[in-house]
Amino acid sequence: MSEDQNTISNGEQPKKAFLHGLLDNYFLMLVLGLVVYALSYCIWGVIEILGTQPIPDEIKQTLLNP
Amino acid sequence: MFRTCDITGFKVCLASQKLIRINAVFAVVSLLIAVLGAILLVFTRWQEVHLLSSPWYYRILTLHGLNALIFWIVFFEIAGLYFGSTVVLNTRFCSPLLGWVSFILMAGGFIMVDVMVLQGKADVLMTSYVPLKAHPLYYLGIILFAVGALLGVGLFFGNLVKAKREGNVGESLPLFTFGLMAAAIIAVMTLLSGAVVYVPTFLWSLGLIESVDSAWYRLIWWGLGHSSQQINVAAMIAIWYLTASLTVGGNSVNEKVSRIAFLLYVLFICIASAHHLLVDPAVSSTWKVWNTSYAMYLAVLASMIHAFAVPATIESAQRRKGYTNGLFEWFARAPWGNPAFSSVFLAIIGFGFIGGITGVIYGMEQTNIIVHNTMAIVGHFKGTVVLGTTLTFMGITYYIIPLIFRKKIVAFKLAKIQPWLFFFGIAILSVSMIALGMFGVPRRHWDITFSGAIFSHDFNPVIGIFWVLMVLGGVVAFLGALIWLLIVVISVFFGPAVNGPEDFQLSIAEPAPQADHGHKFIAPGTLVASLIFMAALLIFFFLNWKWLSAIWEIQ
Ligand SMILES: [Cu+2]
Repeated sequence: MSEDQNTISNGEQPKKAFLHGLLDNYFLMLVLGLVVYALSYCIWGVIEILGTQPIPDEIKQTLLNP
Repeated sequence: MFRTCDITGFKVCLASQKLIRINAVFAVVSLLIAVLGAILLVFTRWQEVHLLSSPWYYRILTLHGLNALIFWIVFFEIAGLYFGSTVVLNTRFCSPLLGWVSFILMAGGFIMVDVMVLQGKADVLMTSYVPLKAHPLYYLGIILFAVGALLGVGLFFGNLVKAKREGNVGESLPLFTFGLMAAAIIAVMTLLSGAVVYVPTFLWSLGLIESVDSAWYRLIWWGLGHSSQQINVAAMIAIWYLTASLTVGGNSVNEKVSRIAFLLYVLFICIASAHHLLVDPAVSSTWKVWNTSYAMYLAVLASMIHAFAVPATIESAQRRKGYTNGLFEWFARAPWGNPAFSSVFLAIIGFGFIGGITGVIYGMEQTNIIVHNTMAIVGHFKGTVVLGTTLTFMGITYYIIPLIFRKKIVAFKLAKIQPWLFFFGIAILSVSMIALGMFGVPRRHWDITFSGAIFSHDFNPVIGIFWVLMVLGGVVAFLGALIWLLIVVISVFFGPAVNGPEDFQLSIAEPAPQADHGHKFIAPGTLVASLIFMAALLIFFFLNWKWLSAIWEIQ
């Protein structure tokens, strides 16, 4: 399989160089992937769960002993 | 210690070859268990037969889910990761000893879990939602399996580092290995979630901690349950690119774009786990909508890129070989006699049209409510995991048998038919399940006649047809899977040896000639196929919204 054809030899450098570097740096990819997943899904999710109001006691009792 | 493959020219590390073989063998055993379970389940859900008793239905459903979705796939992926990081890169395995430790942990975990389930000590379904409680050895088995797999993933990265250090690979990995690397990264996220959720649950089953919060459990468990299926997607697509290269000599039409698409998976696919919590009361709509749409669509975009790039790769290679007539000569003249090729092409079609379209629509908060917890969801993931991943893995196995096990494929004529049988079987099964779900038939349910219940519910009688179709599809798929299993087992253990290229029944295509045209569009056939796909997606999208508005009338 061929090497990456799209090199950084043309005009608009910095952005491309960053992307190119990222694609060749699997540890950086791992870290970024973990960060997005941890923030957007896990931590935000846990915050939401922690913020859930506990079930009012009277309702709980009626549910447990109908 | 290396052998030089007389077919591919690869230097094959013998220690790696052994590890690939043993993991592949265990993958096949897991699939066998999954398939036997599947046929029992099909004949139980069909209430005309109602084969298993209620406890055994849930027991076998647990067994089927774990073996199909976890064991078969992860064992196979570990074999694939080792292949992609050693053989393909002409590199020795970084630590065969740890490779065996990983395997023993995984095999031990796999056996523990299956034994616990079959003994009836873990009737908790694959999700094991707390407060359902299984035997501690069940959770321990899963933890061991996950630790072993995580170690295997670590060894994959170790091999990559070694290959780079020894100069066997340049700055950029080959696209196939790059795709596997994306799968490995997703695997790390998946297995970490697994550790976070299963360790406390294990301690709870031992009585060491008092309780596990059920909302928290669902959140983190799906970080494992969903993301694990995204390892499959990435690995499967890596194999699609590999197969395009092996069978028609195609290289990705734009490697950089393909790589970016894999990057989008790494960044955005795991958050889509949220679609499993779309009716969960503990998380807000904002969280649900963000995680299942805005950000997640970047991962959908990645799938669309791949689903276009792989057929385009095949088409452009075929056209460069001279199959340029009309829109689809390249397609008609493709190597359909190669079961790896037909498996992969059918997998692309099934994954896109059945798994993909339903995935986008059912993953949306609004339209999800029509089918949440119905058979339609099961139909959807039969489209992704079975038609897509399993069929792809089955296909590439036809290369693994001669190249890694050095055995000829027995009953090769049957092997050519097998992908079609499996494809049509699962496609019929999957579409019927989707139809059943649309009529409200619940999933994970032993008795939809609700006999003895305090309420009754009458389904639209038309579902009878779909039940029959589902059983029919299930039986055909079962035969397709059984044939594959027999071919693999007989070839590997009793088949004639491959002594040289003359015994190789498949072929490895020469790279297609360079393009000579200037501005001509390289893949018009694929473009037309993509437009058809788009139209199908829009029609199904529209129908679902229309339907939603009929269910939830707004005045
Ligand atoms: Cu999912």
